[in-house]
Amino acid sequence: MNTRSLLISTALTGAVLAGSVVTGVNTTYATDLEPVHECRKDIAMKLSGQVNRAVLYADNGEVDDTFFVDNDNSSTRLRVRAVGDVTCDFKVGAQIEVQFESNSSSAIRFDQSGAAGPNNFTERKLEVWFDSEMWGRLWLGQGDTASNGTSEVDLSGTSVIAYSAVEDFAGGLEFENGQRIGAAFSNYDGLSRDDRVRYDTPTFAGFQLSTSFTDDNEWDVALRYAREFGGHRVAAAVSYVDGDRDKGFSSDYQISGSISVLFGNGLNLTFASGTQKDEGTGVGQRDTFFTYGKAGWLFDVFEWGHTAIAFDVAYVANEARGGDDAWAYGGFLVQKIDWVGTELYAGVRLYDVEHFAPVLVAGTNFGAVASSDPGSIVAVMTGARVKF
Amino acid sequence: MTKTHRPHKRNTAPGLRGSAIAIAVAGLLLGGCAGGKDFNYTQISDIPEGQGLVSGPGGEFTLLKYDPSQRAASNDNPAAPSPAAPQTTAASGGATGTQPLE
Repeated sequence: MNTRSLLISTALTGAVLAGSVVTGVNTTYATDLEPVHECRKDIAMKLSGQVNRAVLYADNGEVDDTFFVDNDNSSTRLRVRAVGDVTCDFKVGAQIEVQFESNSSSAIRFDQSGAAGPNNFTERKLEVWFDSEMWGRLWLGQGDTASNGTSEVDLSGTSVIAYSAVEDFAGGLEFENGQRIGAAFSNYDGLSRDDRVRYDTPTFAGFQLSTSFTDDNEWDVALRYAREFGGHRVAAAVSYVDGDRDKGFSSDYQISGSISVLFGNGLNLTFASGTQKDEGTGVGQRDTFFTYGKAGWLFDVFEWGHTAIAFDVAYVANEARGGDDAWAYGGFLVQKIDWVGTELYAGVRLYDVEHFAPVLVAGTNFGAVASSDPGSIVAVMTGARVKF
Repeated sequence: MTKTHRPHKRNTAPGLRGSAIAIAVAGLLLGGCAGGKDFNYTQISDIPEGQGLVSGPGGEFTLLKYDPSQRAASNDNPAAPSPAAPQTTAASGGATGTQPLE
């Protein structure tokens, strides 16, 4: 056996052994060594949903207002899921999930008249899937692309009001110069939800690889990880997106990821980062960056459920235009009331966007420059998410 | 000028050492990973796991649940009790959604 063969066989053996350790296939063997599977072949359909409403006050230094919003961190929605066992290790399923956001926190404006957003259900997931513990899962339809959520891994227990997409808190509101918060901030979270075909591998030692191909001829690949070590939890994800600017995606490619650690004593740390780039360089080529950090603590004050506090900071460069530096800072409190499926929350967030690079002004001589700092917005939100 | 001929010796040690280190690191990583246990991470964009206000501990209303194989057995033996009749807990106002669908 030469060296290469030895290395390959060692690697394969290690992989097989590791697989046998972690897959945990629940198979017992009778005395004649024939596998004996105990499985049921159930068919089930289930309904779930949540309502997430809040009061939001915001001030951009020029105007201020109070809104009654649907908290876009986790929108009001309904979900119906169905699943049936075809064999002991093969299931087929389907789900429909729709949201209904009246006055979404990411759609409101200071000068709006009437509620913002569509007064109807909008799609989130309309999909079927085929699942096997041995072979993984294949998805078809409107739903999460492989990369969706890879910027948003969060174990802090405060995601109902704050996570890496800081613009969801009050993204529709405008700075003094009219620029909206949502235009200045992004967490480059994959390809979001789309009409796609997606494949997830089985989980291997906490790792899972996924890929999807969308109706817009875009594709992505993602690696996820979730593992618990003696009461300490670690979850992480990273993704690569091959976008298509002609089909509306922001850049030629995107890389993003996040990691969150929840220690046994309740302390938790979350970090996320990502970038969007075009293959070329120069004027009009996209080169953006975001990073996000959160520190929190989960603890028990009341017997009702966990109390969670967290503080976060986000930085986004060049999102609205080259030269923009966008910062967001926040502090948050969430109180769970377990037996009624409710989370009460409150939080404050400061958005601050500065513009450092000169910009060409249309209609002036070449080389004329102007500078306009969008300014700051402070927003305070309190509300409740009730899962029914 | 004289040339000194040294016996040809393949220098495989650095490559082998690198591969061994890589395998050792991979082993450590796998060992470290295998030391823990998986947990089901629910994406924050999904409806959270856990108790619902009226749906109970599972957080979902079970609209329908049955075992088609038991239904078939029941059809084959009409005298037998029919445990496979579809369970429609929502209609009775209850909720038994304690089994994850995934």
